Amino acid sequence: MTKYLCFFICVCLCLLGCQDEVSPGPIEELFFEAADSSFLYSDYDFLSESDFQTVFFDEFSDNENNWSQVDDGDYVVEIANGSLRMESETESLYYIWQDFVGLRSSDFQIEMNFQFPNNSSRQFFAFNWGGFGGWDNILGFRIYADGHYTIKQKINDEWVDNILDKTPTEFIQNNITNSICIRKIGERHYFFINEEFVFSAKNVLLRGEEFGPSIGSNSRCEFDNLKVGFVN
Amino acid sequence: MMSVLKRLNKCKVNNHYMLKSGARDVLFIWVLIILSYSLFSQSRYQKMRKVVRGTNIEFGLNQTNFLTNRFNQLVNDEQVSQVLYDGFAAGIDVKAFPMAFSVKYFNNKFNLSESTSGFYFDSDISEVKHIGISLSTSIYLFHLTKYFLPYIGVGYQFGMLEGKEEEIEYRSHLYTGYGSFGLEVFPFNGVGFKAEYLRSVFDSGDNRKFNQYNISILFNLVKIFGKYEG
Repeated sequence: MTKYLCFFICVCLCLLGCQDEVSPGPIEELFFEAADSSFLYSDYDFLSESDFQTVFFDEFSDNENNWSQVDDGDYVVEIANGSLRMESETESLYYIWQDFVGLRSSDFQIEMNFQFPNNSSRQFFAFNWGGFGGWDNILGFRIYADGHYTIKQKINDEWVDNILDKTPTEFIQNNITNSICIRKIGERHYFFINEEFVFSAKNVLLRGEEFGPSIGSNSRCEFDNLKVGFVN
Repeated sequence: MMSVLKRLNKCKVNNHYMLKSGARDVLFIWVLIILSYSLFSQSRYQKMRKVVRGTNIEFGLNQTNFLTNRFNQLVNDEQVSQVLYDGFAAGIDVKAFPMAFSVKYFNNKFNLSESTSGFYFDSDISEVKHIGISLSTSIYLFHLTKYFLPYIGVGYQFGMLEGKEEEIEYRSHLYTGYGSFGLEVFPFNGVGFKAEYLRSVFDSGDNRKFNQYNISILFNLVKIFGKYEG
């Protein structure tokens, strides 16, 4: 029996010995690091209206913010009926943006409503921020009508899955108005869909001040009530 | 015993004192053990030595609790939850009265709330497991009866905390020495029960101390298969 025991011990230790540490950071942070207040901001309601200074607001009743509109057969960007409608009839994306000084140096919250049309399961859009000169170095909070989301960054003209892979969520619903929210407090970004927290990322580098929506390939979506607030 | 408790209280405020006090407590326990063996007759000891022998295999329920403010906060805020004894352990131990040597595999589970998972992990991790192997040696404290066997022991755990979701994996090692005490009860011939408490020692100073509770059913292979006469 003793030799079986020794054999058992050896096998167990070998199995454990083969198990190197893999990305221990999140587990260490969760269980062993001193608590701070950063988790509290993952509750959407932790910040109220009075905590923000609204610095940009567009309900798309007209084009007072000079969004670039287009209708060239491949893409449609139109402000009508109190919303921003974007369509892409091609295999490529289309992006419009505003430049607003202060995103890089402030804690902020960006919110926007969106609605996918019927039968749109393969369609997607992204809300982008932190870029400069258009596509360069933008971050994209990409929402898919089939109930997925992902967070990507474009670096040197390449989309890189360096923040969050495509992840399912139950919070996106078609044919009704949904909302997304991007909150940045300190070094951390928080992402919400319909006021439900879905993800947080640390040390996301903002290289520019631009922000705005982009429509995915062969996709359609309507947007409304784009609001940017700086946290007091 | 009261003086030991008082000393343990003082340990909380003075690390230097804790080292000295810890050494005295270990000495105290060893005196207790030696006394327990000297109080009873040599013939009784010899008889127990013949009865308490062989190899046990054990299967049971196991639970880990971290003894930190951080963990208490996680539980109170419902970021992390545990179902009572939602873990298991399986092991084998060899008795050589008054000693026992054992190896045990354990697998305990911490459930994460959805927001906690989203906050700390880049994927949909819903649980983190504390899994590992414990190697230990124990000494039985008294030999009054072959049915009730209290013991204390020391051991070492090769453990880790692991979160996994399809191909994405997070793993952090948690290696520690530990002290333990427990009770084995053998109401039936060859089948018994064990309750054990263990606590990590030699904390690495970054808030990793924990304890574990274990309740197991034991099968004494010698008595069940009758290879040796008791």
